[in-house]
Amino acid sequence: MMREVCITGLGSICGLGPTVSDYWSTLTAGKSAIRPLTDVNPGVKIKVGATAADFQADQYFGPNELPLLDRFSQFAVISAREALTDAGLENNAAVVGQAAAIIGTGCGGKQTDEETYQQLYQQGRSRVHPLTIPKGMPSAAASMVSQHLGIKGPVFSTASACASSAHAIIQGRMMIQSGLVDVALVGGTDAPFTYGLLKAWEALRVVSSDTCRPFSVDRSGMVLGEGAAMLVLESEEHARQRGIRVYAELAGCGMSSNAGHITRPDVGGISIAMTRALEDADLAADAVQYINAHGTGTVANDVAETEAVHRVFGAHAPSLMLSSTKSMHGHALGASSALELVATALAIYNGVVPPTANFSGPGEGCDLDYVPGTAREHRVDAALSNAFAFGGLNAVIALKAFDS
Amino acid sequence: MVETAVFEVIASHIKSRPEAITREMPLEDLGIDSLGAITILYELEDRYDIEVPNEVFDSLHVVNDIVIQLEQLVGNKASV
Repeated sequence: MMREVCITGLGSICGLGPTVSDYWSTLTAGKSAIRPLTDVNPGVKIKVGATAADFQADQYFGPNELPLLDRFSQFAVISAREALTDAGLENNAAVVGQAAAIIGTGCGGKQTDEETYQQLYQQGRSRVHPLTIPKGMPSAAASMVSQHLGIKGPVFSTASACASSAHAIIQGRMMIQSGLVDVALVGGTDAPFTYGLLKAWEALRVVSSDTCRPFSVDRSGMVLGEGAAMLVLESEEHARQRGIRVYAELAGCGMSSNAGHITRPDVGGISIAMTRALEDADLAADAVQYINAHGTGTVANDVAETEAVHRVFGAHAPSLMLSSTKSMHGHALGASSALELVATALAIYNGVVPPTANFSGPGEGCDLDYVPGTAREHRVDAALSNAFAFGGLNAVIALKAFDS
Repeated sequence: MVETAVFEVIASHIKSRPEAITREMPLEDLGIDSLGAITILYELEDRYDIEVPNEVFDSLHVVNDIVIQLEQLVGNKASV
């Protein structure tokens, strides 16, 4: 029999604040981090984003550390440290030394790459900084987390666009289930507010010009966010031996690929992922009270996700609470699924469901309970967290309340 | 002429001939999905140095919708 896996530590940094405490209090207050972009090239037409506006790297890292830390790695290390501390493991070299770290990213070190290209192509320089490769490579964040925190087990990155951290979390769970490790630090990070990347998102015509209103009648697209979130996963046996508080059991996972259109969500594919997560968690559909939606606020996603929930949950669908916290932390790409799983775990642990902010009335084909505007006190015994990435890559994670 | 340019770009995108395109043709029937449509608009925006706002994107269903949008934008630009 495979080992049970539980969540014993949480860390996050994003537009809603630099700690999980800030994140949760702002989420449950229904406040959004989406704000006008002020520090971007004036040629960028995207005017809003959920940036970590007050973040100062030198408050966290010394001048000797920063040359190797792209912004996406900075976020990863900060949230990883918080998660390990929360799990009571920061100074436990024996456990941490054998742990895994799997870190998702959709973009990698774009800040480093783009600064380098600007020097080469625009300024006409013929040389680049010697640390460009180790600082900008997509696995840099995972390596920096390992180096800064002393994690010496299996360490690598996953990349599946907006589901990158969901796949990282699932990979960590599988390592614990199999007995390869007892503890895995998992999550994701991204820092996409760079000139080239913003221009690329602009060209795709899916970014809203004002704000993110998931499932709403006048929704106008997604809004980018940035940051990182990390979770400490641990075998139940290991957690019980340590006597550490458990937020929730990571009870099931479901993955699928649409093998179809590169950007259009597929109701069939995402239904399969949700169904597999329920089956893996041994959950009946009517045992689930809450779904943290992928909920990007695009016309296509929100209708497809709603239809898939009806398909999977049938008569129970109208009784479910389904909210999109992207309305508050923005779409932080490779960090999103981890941010959302932190919110889902805390919804179970605290018995409070975060709302969908900016909801302005249901759009056509959007007829579920989206928890509009205000957080709701409600016991949650089981919940799903959805991630449906560009490229048709779906990953759904099921959590259960932990029976202590 | 805007219509000619629209037909040319669409034909090039779907590997057809401009003469085979008519204003009434639904984009979907031509095999043009949302990514195809933004790619076609991107080329036309470049050709005329204009900008098709995101807000009208969801209302582009047939070839004529693109022609009308472009004629308006090109006309507006000429009158400035």
